[in-house]
Amino acid sequence: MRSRPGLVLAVAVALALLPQAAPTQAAPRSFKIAVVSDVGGRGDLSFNDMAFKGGEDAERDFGVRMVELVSKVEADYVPNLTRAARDPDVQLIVGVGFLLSDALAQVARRFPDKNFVGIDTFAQSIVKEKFSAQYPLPNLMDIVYEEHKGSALVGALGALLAAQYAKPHIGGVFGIEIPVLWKFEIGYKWGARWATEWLAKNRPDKAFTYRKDFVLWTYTGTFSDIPKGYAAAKAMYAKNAVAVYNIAGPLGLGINQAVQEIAQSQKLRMGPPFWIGVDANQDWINPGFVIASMMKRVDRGVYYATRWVRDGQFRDLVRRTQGVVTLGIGTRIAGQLAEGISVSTLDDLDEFIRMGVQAERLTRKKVLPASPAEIKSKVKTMREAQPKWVWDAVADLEKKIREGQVTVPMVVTKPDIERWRGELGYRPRSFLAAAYRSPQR
Amino acid sequence: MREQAPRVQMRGIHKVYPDGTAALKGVDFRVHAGEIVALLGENGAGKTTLMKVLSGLLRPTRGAIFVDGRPVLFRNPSDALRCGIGMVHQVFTLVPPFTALQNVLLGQEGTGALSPLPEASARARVAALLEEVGLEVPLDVPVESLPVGVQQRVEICKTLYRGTSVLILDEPTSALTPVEVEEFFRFLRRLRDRGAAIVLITHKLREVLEVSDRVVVLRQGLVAGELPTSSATAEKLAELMVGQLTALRVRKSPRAPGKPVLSVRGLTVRNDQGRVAVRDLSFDVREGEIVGVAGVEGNGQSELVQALTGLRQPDSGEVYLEGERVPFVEPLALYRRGLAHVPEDKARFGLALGFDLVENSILGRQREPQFVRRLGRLNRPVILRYAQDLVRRFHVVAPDLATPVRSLSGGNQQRLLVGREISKEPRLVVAMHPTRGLDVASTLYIRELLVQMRDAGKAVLLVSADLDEVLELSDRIAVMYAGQFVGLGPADQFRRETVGLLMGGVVPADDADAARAPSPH
Amino acid sequence: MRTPRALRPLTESLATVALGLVAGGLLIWAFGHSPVAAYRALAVGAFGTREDLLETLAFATPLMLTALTFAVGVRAGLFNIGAEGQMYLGAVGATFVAGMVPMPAGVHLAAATLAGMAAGALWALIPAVLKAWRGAHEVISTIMCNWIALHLSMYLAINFLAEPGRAERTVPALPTARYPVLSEESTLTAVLFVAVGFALVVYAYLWGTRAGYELRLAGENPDAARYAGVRPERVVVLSFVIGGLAAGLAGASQVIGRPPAWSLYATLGNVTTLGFDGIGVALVGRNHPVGGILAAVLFGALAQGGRLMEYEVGVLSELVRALNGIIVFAMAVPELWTLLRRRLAR
Repeated sequence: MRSRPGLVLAVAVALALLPQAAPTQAAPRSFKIAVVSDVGGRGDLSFNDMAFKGGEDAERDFGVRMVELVSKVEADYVPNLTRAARDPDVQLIVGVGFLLSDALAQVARRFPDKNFVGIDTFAQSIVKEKFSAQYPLPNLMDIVYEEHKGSALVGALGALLAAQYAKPHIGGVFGIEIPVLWKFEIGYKWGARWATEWLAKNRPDKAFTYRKDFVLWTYTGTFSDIPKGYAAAKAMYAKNAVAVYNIAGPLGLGINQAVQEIAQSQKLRMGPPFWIGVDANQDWINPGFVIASMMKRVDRGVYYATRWVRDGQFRDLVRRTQGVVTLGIGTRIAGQLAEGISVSTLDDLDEFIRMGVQAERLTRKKVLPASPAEIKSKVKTMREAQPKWVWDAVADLEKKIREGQVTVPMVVTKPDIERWRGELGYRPRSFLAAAYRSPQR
Repeated sequence: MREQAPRVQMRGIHKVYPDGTAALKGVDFRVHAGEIVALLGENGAGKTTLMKVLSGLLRPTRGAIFVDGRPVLFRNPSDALRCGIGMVHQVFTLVPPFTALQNVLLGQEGTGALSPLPEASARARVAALLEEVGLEVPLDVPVESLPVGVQQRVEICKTLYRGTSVLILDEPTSALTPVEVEEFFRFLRRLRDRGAAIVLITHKLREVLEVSDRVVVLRQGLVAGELPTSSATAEKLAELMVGQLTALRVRKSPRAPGKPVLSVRGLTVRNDQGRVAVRDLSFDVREGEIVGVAGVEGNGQSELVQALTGLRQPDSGEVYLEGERVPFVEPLALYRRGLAHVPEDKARFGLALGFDLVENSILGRQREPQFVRRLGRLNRPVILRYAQDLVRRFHVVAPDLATPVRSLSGGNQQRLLVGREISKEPRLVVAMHPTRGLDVASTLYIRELLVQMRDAGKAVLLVSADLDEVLELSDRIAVMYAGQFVGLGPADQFRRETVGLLMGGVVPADDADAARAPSPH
Repeated sequence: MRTPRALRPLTESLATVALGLVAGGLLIWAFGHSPVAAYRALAVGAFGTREDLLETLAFATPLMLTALTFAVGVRAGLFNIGAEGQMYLGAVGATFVAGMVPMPAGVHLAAATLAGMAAGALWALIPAVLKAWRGAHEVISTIMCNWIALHLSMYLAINFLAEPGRAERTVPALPTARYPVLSEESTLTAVLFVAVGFALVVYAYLWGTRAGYELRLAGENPDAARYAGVRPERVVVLSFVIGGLAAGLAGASQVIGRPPAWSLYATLGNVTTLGFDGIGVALVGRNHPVGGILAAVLFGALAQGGRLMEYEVGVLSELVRALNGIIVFAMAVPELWTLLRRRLAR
């Protein structure tokens, strides 16, 4: 580019790029919601995709419009939230995932007229810590989930399957050891113990006593290093675990690989061994080998939040809850049932298969392992192959939790976790020389 | 001169390069069958450009080419080859690990990219061709192991094998020893007598007079003159070439040398391949004398100079500057003790082409206190004044001081470099090929500068492949062959022929004593 | 071309930017959006308001530093692509001092900044020493060092710097070790001035000192540098140290100079790729410290303006990324080509 035309071109383009006066907004105010993803972005088949799905559901039912903002890097969180808040039509801004907590706390303070929701966040506690005078921010809501209850259900399911197949263990592969994960850990173990008690009462022929080493568990120290999930799960299956619970997001793919190896070497078409999905419905990933998923209904969170803003309840709700709304099993918000935790069912599968189809279109990569019909029939066959009493027992636990007949311990503090680990099982010898694991403090 | 139509005729050839340089400004040129035409001119006169046009490598901006009277248009070298025109370049296009035969056959029509070379069937034909023209080429040896002179024969054979009857040779003798040159000329005459048309691009007057039938002299893109060789003299050709009657000889008055400045004792140096390139060499260079080292390139001159100037670690030996032993591979220490170095390849060693004149003017002098201020900052104003001074004193032509040296002509680059080195007020000047590739004016100027240095009492070591340069400037002459001096003595004891023989490794009978016992003084 | 010689790289770069924008426009158009509307959104989103401009500069800050790392390497004749790893260590170093070593205000900020720079420089010494005394090719060794740095930094972040209960990130910088936020409207802090200042200091050093001259000489022509008595090992070490300082500062800037986290993510998510992005920035900036500043602003504008383009025009975020890629490509390839050609020519 040494010639004059190059220069002229550059000048022309520069002129064309000069900022124009902002177009005046004449159109009638529409109700927009904005969903800001974390760096997982669209197509993660988990948190972000579910949040966008919740937004789509809200679009359909409440006539709002959703704007998606995908964060490419962590530094995008604040600007993305800000960009959405600056749109006069946007009334609700949803930040998906706990990584957005700091950013939500900061931006919500700057835009007091806008409503902010964080999914799985702890933005209000950051406000409390850093800007205690403003706590709780009237326009900011953290939506959190009763993962301990859902984990109890799948823990029970695992223990019942162990009884059915006469296996000595169930397993759990965890990510980085943070208090949120303690909720999963203790819930899972508690559910397993509950199942042994249920068996003693209802199926003495299958009953066994809960031992402290019944649940094999390991914190891999990572939410991204898939081979670590594989290594951890492989060791558990080698000890004859009937099912392994994935509490480390993408590491589930590693667990799946371990299952797949066993399935191939033994020419299995269906578990055991099984694994248990988390957050989204992951049953379709390897139909026949994912017995169920502990679903955290992020989509419901977005959906409810939109409704509360539309109905003018949002700020009132924030005031009454100190800005933290919990969705779980049998939870009621403002007098209405608002649940957010469930064990996956066959009926859930359809919308998640749809999500997979969409992700395939978006990423142009193969996502679904088989045709939707085939997946569905395989999952159905697998579920029907388990005895009815297994499912009945899980349903029984869910009912008892919902009606308050039993209480699943929710563990988020250091003394609690130590006490419960003492009761339900200490760490067995490490399966892995987990390079990143923190020393016990 | 001849009645028949020329084999090739070029009319009104213009060539303007994309950067705007007009290399040819309307040149007429012809060559007949059975004739050797010398195309003579300085560097940059347009010789090579004209022949690249003829061989299809360049397309003329304007002008026409006729072959056997018919107009032709060459889009590429293959087109020219089909008309029997082939060119042998200065830089060979051989594949080093291939044998001569494979190289000759490579790229022939009829051989696809993947098909095997038809070696067996072609061998006889190639051998016959060599026999016919009287070239000796070992066909089954990888060309990389052949001497340069033989590689050139392979290159020529390759061209002839493609049916070339108009052979263009670009500076063919530059890589040859005098003995090889004689043999080469015999071959050219034989080829001519068999009816070939030969164009010899050269800037060596002696060769023109010796081998050609007709001379065309180019100057600045125009034909400066054309004459039969029989009526040409060296002076006349030089005048046509340079455009004015220049004193080709540098004026030099006799001068008695002083005490030794550089003393080399038992120096042995290896080359990059680890072979001994300089073998146990001892000599002195004294105040007020120029010691010229002649020799065919590759006989250890580069390694010698690099060892003396701190660029290469010798195996053994000692070097003294004004009686003090100097450390090896510490160029700055040498400069501090009065070394000025005009390196063999100015673009490689002596200049940073991407830097401007100012920055190049302190290359190697960047640590001198006059150029550096507190905290290691460069003293811009002083450096600038110094660069201006260099440009003025040594007649460097440049648009301004901020011009990257890359865009200067070779002559101006060398003036800047030599000027910078000389302005150090050195005790010893080591210069290698100081005028290689330069125009006549710059050549003369730089040679004069070297003589001035000598007259000012400096010691000058001149290493050059240009025999004329060595003969003309030196007070004492050494001929380097296979890492040793095969002759070292007062310049007036060396006749041109003697040096030529020594360069080829032949010790003439009457000089045998001098060669066998090279005296250190 | 009548432009003054000093401005020629600038006009050439602008022309390639234009070329990249035209090519990107075709892509946008091919996907059914209006290129004019998209580019207007890009420009408005990046420079339209004060807060957008500030955010653009916030994105530009680390890039001008990692670009400097690569540029100084190139000037010394080296392909230092280790900015990524050096930056990780810089972030770790800054986090440690800023978050765990209480100090008086003022001193603390400077100490944290210097700790980050020093950590980056120390990490850069590994490939430097390998290159200078063992001849290990710097491309290979810096790539390997990047991986080692990634895992080492994650290990350090998780095991020694983690905030209890916040496993996703390290302890935040103490308030005494935070660069002041320039405006609540954006995440830009005063670290911008430190970054620009450092780039200018490096510029002055390279072009105004004897050592800088020798460094550039070694890059321009290694043989001439030997002729001039320049020791290649010293140039290698010097250029890597300067590059490491810049990369370390870049890493530190994202911890002690970027709200709201004021800490390093355990995944290093708030610094990853900044080092690699710097290579593209450096190429667009013609491997010149000042050019790098301008190019970094341009890259920051793409990051920040792309947001509005996505938001208003509905250009898919993947397309925004592709557009960035095309522009970088158009701008970087000519320079990369010259670099490679010069390298191969030797």
